[in-house]
Amino acid sequence: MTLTVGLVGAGPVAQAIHLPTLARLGGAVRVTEVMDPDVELATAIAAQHGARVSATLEEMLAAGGVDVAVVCSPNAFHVTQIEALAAAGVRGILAEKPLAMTHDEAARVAAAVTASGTALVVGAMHTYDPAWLAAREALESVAPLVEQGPFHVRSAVYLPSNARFEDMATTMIRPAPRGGGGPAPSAADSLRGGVMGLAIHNLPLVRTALPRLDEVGFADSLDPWGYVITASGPQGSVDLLARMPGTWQPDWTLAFWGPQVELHLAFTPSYVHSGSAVARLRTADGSQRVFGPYPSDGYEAEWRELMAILTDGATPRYGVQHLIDDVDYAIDLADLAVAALDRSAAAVAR
Amino acid sequence: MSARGLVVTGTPRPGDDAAVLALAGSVPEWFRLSDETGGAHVAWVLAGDDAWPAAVTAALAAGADAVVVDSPRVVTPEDVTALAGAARPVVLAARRSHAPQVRMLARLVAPVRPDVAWVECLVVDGGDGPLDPQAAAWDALATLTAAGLEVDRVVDVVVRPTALLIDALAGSARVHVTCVRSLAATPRLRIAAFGAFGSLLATAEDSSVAFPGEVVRVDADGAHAQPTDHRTARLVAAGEVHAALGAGLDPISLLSAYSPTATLVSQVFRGGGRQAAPQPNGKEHN
Repeated sequence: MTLTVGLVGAGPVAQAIHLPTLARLGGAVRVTEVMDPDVELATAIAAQHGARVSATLEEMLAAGGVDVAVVCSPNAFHVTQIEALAAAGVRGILAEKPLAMTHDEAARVAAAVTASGTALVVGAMHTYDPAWLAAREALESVAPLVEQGPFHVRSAVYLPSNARFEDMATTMIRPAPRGGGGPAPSAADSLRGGVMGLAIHNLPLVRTALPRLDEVGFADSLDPWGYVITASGPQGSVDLLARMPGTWQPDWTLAFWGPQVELHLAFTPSYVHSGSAVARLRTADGSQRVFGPYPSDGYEAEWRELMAILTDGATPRYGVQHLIDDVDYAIDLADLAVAALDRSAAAVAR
Repeated sequence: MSARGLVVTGTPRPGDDAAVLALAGSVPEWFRLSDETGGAHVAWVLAGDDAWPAAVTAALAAGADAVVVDSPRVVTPEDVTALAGAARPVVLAARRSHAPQVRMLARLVAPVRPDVAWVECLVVDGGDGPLDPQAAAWDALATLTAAGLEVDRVVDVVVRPTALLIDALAGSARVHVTCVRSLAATPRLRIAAFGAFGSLLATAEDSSVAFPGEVVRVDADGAHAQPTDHRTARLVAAGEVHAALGAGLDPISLLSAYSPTATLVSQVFRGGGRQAAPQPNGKEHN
């Protein structure tokens, strides 16, 4: 059975992440609808797939016939679009991260998809990365990860501009430039954006070892864009670092150090379709196991998960409550980081 | 020129004495092991306990041409002051200060230092037991000093049983240091410096072993990997001391050059200092 797919948003994420991934799934999926307020952009993308064009989600839903919608619009639209898609009876939604920006929004998402029975997968590709999943399974064959702590976890992300990788993934059709651009975001908005836009890729993985973070020691945004956040909770501590864009090697790592275990993951940059991360797992007896790189990546695994739910009735790896807990964890951390921002900035400026 | 005598003294940590004896044996053209302090010689002080300043003083009194202080747990301002008047050079061979990757990084940092905006340093210790926060801070900050990225103000410190996190400033550059300790960990060092020029990244494994390493510079012209010598940090230190004495110069990496770093670490961990940094956040989580 071929699932029909509607793109909600036709920008870089749709073009350089989801369309190349869908192409790898062969005849199992077919893009039939492309929605974007930039109709010229939507038309150009739709023409590549023989799909219909819509300028609004209402227009797309009125046409009917979409089995799966992939929400890759700006963050502010995710919740209302998920609600509309669920209410319209779309069977499956692949929603790009962040699922929501507030706890209330997260609750709305949960209510909407629970009421409709819509299958929901979040485009947090690291949570589906085959190397992470294999390493975690090996680790948890002993005991749940959280019981193997205390841990220190370190997430470091250094990337050149996204455009470089978008252009490697596909022949990008850029949206029409928009005038103005508005005022520069405040430091708080920038920091929250860093957590909810980039750190959130790894936070669900961090949560497996540190299910509660109740204190942020230091938090600041970095120029030109980035963040440094140190946080801790009963199960250990984490530091989250990011800086981009710039002239440096792409470098996206996540490491866990516990009393008896070291797990180091090296991820590819976003938009890169070159297989999974590489996970190196060392234990105190000196043994080391390496997982990956596997040929498939988290993007492909997200889609295969959604397809298995819809076509085979498979149980989701991450149920709705798990997904809500993931985003609530990120929102809580963002709140703590923003609350620590003034204190941290004052300490730097002193 | 005949080889200088090398008098090994002080208190060794397990394995350190054997490592230094092996080092001396590998460079007979530079040094010959000796118990004699009568002639020209270098004293190599194994700083396995906090009594090493007395051993340095004794070596200087015995007429050493230079004294190498090998891997003190921490250097305090009092240590520096006590040895400040030494008539002959006292060299600090901190745990990683002479690692070839750190030496290479220092050479590459120098021309772009004013443009460095962000530095991150990761020190992974494969030891057992809890992390010693003051020693870890000294190790990391002394390594940054050796790399030409001297921290001059600590902004925030978080201490956890197996981790130490430091946010700091090195001139106008922001610095973040992560020190972790786990029996399962691969000992290693990573220092990355970022700025408008691009980036510099040094990675090194256990500096007591002559692992291959490299420093990668990425700039507008592309990426350039600079392989480093397969030498232990101790061998690099010994070579620098030999070369400097042979040329009648002071060796680099004099203990006195680390005085600001010693003061900074002391202020953070002793409290009551003038350094504006908060004391370590030691709230315990297990």
